[in-house]
Amino acid sequence: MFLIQIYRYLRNYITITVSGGFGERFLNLCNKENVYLWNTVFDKGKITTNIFCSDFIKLISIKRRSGVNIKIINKHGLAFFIKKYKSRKILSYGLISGLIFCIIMNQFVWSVEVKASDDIDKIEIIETVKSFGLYNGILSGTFDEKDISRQVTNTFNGKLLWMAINIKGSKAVIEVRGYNENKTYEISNDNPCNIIANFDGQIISTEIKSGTKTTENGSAVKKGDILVSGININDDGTVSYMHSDAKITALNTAELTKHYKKNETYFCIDESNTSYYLKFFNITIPCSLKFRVDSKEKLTYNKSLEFNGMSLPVGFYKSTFFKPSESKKNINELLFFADDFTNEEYNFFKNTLITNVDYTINRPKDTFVINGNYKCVSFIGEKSYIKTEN
Amino acid sequence: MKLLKQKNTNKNTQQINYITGTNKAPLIELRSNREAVIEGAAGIVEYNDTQAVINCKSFLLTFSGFGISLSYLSSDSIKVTGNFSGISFSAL
Repeated sequence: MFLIQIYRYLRNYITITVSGGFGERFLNLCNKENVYLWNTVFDKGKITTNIFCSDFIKLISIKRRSGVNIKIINKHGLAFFIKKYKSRKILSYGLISGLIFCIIMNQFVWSVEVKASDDIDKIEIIETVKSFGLYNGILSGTFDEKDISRQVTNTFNGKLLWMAINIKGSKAVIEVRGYNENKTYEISNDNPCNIIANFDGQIISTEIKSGTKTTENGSAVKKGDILVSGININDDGTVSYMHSDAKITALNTAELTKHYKKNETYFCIDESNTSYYLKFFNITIPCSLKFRVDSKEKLTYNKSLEFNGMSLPVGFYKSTFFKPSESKKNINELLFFADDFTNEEYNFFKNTLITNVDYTINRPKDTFVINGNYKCVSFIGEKSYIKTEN
Repeated sequence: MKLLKQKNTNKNTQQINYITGTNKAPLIELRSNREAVIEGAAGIVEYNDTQAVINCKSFLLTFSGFGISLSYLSSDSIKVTGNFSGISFSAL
């Protein structure tokens, strides 16, 4: 229907009212002369209908033969639209130049988006890709996506499994897969499964919702041992499978070690300085007095305007510049290591209750090693498909 | 022999069409009591907002109701829309 409407609009049509004479004869004559009529409505003794402009000339003889009066009510179509705005030349120039502008702008890459797992630094990928020639504002077709993805994969020295660059209009989507990604398959609530230990420990408490308990509280388990079984042996000797669900806590020990190189530059948050700016295509407009660009610049946040899921080359950017202070370097380094290790600890033991910790700090040549030995209570058990032997 | 066979089959189909009367009979398609498409109609005999009488060559087809309009009118088909309260056939 929409296509028909476009066709009619392009062919130009008029709405007419037919009154007096013989209305039916008028319709039959139109039919005979191959004059196409549509949306014909009878209202207050008048017939209102639509007709193509090209057929209007045929109505002269039809009108005479049927004795009707024809009055044009409305005109529709592209030709009438152009005629209406013919005197407004600037409007047409604006429309044409806008169209040309859109076509030209569509030839450039205006946003680079990285789709990767959390363990991959997206900003680092964007910076690396930029150094190989893919950045905001580059003309599409002037770079080889395959070549760039190969070079970037080589630069990351085996950290990346593969990388692909897809150009979607004026947006470059970089899809990255890292080697460390552990693909976990979610087991839905309907599928039969066991619950197995995902680390070594001593069972403290068991709360079973469904399944058969296989271990007692206080017993020690090894990684991979079945804690709750999804296999149920019925009274008649038959076997049925079910989905196991349980909350099991266990006492376990863990170790976290981190190595830091002493002479490396670490960014200290205390020494940062933030500036804001607006970006319009490749033009940068500073919005704060602290605006500066130097080698130590580090982009931490950027937000471009989005329209229907598409990033526009206009947006708001926030840059944080890090400058390590020379006088407080040693103190800052120590503080930084401690702060970083605490963050790492927090991420590592997110859902764990730590009961006892022993820290050891070693300072071998040019390195700084922090080691933590933990005794903790944590949830043990992960769902695993039931393996059957045929 | 082949030509004779073809002539015979053509004669047979013509005879069947003549007997059933469906050779050039108009095709009427109805959707609920709101829409009707008539293919092969000869013309319009009477038209107003409560009634549309269509000449179907061998009979007259009358749509009665309210808000009756002709969605399109071309040389080979007519589409009638509206709230039909009755459809009747009468001989010419």
